Amino acid sequence: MKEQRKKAKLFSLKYLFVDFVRITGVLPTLTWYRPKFIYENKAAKKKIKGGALLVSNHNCFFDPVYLMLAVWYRRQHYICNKQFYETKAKWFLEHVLCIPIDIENTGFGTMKEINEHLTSGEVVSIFPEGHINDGSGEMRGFKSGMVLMAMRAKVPIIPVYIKAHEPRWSRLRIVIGEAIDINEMFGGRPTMSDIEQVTNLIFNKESELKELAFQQHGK
Amino acid sequence: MLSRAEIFDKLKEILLFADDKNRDKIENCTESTKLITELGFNSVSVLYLVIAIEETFGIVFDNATINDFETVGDVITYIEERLK
Repeated sequence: MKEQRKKAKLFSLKYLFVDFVRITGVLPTLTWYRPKFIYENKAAKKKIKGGALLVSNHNCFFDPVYLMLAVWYRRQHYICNKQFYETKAKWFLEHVLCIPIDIENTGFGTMKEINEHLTSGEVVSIFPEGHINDGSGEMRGFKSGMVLMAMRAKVPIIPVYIKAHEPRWSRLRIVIGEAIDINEMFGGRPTMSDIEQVTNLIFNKESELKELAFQQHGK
Repeated sequence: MLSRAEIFDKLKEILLFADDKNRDKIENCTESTKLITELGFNSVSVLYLVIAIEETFGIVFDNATINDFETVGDVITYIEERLK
């Protein structure tokens, strides 16, 4: 029997600020970036329903904004380095639904928090490279933590590739891939080798999306 | 209530399932064996271990971090305390 997908809350006071940012920010960002969304196939065009883990490459600090444009119809929780919570940006990050994670010493409470968001039908976005890449367009290796998160919450992974926005006056290109249901790949609990294999699969998928981004750009 | 030895056996089962390539090291491990330096664990494998333990023992790891578990014995002690 197919499990009933949970739906995230439509209205809540805690979403007031983030919704304000989304609504007021949409016009300037659409005007400036003129985003072009490229879909891997027909299935990738389907709107995300219920909990999902959005996985993307990480070129710059604006990537969360680009992801917000790509999946404009859903609020997203962004997993961000705890270091940023020690700056003046803390208040803002808290109110735009970021989830701080200590990369050096991950707390199990953080994993629990991510799991709660995913299982309650919300969208969580993660940059599995861990840091912003060097800007050459080459992705760093992906960390396997995202696979554990999706596996535990039993949610699909949605791969997204963001092409570096250069030159600045060009259109921003975002490629959205088909949802990957990793839970269908394993009968029971996967082994660590299985998890590494899925991580490589997602990295390869991102590379395919990257090729699409460059093909469509005529380069 | 499970004894410390029983928890250790169950933990070994989880470790063997998780990482079959390291079978010899896991079978011969003791409570003082270090997870990262001796068993070759990384942060992701520790998180995997925690998820597997939560499912097997029905406990929740909520107020701990990866660095709290240096040895196999540290994990057993945490499980033991949670099962009380």
